[in-house]
Amino acid sequence: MNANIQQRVLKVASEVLERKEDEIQLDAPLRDELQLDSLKQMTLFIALEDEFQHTIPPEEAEGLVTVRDVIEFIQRKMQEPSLA
Amino acid sequence: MTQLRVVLIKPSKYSMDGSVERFKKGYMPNATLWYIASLTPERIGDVPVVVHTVDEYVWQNLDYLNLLQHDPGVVTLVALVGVQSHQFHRALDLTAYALHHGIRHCVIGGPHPMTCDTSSLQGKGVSFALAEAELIWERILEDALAGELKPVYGDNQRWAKQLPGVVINPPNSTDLARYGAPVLGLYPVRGCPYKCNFCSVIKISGRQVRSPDIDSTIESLRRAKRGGVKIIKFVSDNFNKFPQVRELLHAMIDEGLDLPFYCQCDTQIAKDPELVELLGRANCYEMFVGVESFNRKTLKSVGKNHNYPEHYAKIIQLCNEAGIRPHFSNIIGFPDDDEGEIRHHIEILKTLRPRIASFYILTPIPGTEQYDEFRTDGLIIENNLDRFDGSCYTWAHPHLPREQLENLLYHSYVNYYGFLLKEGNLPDDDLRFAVFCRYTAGLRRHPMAGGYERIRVDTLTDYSHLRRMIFDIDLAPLPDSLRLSARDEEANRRVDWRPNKHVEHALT
Repeated sequence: MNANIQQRVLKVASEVLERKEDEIQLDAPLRDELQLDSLKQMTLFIALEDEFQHTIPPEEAEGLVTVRDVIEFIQRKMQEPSLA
Repeated sequence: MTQLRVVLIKPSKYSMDGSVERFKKGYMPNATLWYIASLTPERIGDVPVVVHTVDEYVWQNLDYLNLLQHDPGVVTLVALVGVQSHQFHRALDLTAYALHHGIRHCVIGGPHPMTCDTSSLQGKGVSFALAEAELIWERILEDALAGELKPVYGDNQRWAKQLPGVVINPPNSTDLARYGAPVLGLYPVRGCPYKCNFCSVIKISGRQVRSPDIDSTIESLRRAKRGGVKIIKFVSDNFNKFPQVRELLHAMIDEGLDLPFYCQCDTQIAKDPELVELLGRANCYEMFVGVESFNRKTLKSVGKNHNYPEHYAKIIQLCNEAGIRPHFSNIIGFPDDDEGEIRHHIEILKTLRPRIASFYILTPIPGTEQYDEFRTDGLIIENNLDRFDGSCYTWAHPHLPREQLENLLYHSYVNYYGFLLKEGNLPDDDLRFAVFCRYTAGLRRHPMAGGYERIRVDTLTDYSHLRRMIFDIDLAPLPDSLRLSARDEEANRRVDWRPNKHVEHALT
């Protein structure tokens, strides 16, 4: 995993989830353990869009269960042309 | 014959990717669907009438297509209701499906057939309703029972002189659950005295403001409450031009209905603080106002002479004081707009900070004066009616090419709601809506499209062969606007109704 992307995703996630970065386990389920409800999920995706200039449509987000999934998803997205 | 089966469908539209637009949850049930259902008698003579209602936007499977198939012993009437121009292809395809499957009686009604010439599609097995339902619905039902519909209904009078007091039966709990909240749309007043050239309302409902008696509206509200409805949306275009608005609001307060409601007012509401205060007391939670532009010259150029941008801040103030959420609706891409003007518009909006803002691209809606003018000038470059939905580039703008204007549409949402979210301190409902709008627009999807979470079930290719088979077209031709009959022209001309005359004089 790209360390830079991981660090940036964790920073964004910690702000949205209101937790310290070191409290966020990469393999923790977003919904159950990190209490990511639908509102927080959209808020997280907006914050990631602002950070990386890539959107995360709901149909693509269905398979994102853990923070690690999100980081890997962003890594894949970074290979695509950005919004900026 | 055992029964008359009436299948009322509010058709969806085809999205850019060709899918039939459907959502896991809708914003609100279509008001026309439930109005027509409530207007339909339980029996005609000895024959029982069974009504089915389908709002395609929130139907997640295709079971309802079974209703569009011949059933021996039952006379079926398929009625596509409230059809707007961007839903017209979908309406045609559903009737084509029904005809192909042995249904003999299909009718399409609503804004598009009422205001646009459909003669090239007539005589092919589908009837067109050119008038308000009160004038023609009973006759359509009787003709279906008698065995044959006429090609056209209501071609010599578009509007009923008086509206009957129809009590609306709300959707059942299963249908209410298809929406984000148990909402019912009511339309207690029709007509608009103004002459905005881009607006279809005066062509659909006329300039004479008409309303049924208050008692029927109150009874509709009582039934809604008993039926589990929690929120009312009064979708009439000018609630503040409704002569009996105060009477209705006092009756709602006296009844203790405790039903939060949404309404639409014009910008003249800025001059009527007493009414805003009364709206708040009657439990109005959101007021939609078509501000459109902050440029007075632009507003005058499209006939929206009653909008004074210097009064918009007053609307926000009055709403905030009355505990009402102001919703400003904005149009971008007026002929004089350029990118700087639109960005400036958003900056002004941020200073006023309405709690809800919606944005649409100026669209020459078929049947309007603006459509006729643009068409005469050869400006309309889009020939697919599906795209005339307020989110697409349909005419050759003098300063803004397609990509730039469509980008600006989504930018307006992203920028404005991004601003509200950064400012913080939003009430829970506003926060949820702001996040939704910001996120959806970031995906280049229009947040006001009609629901939450799109689902893909069927596409145009599933139906296009039927459209060709029945109507012999791939796309319906861009229509000519339908002229008003002499009777309707006269009714429109005689309108002289200014309910707030004393207030206007005091403040303009």
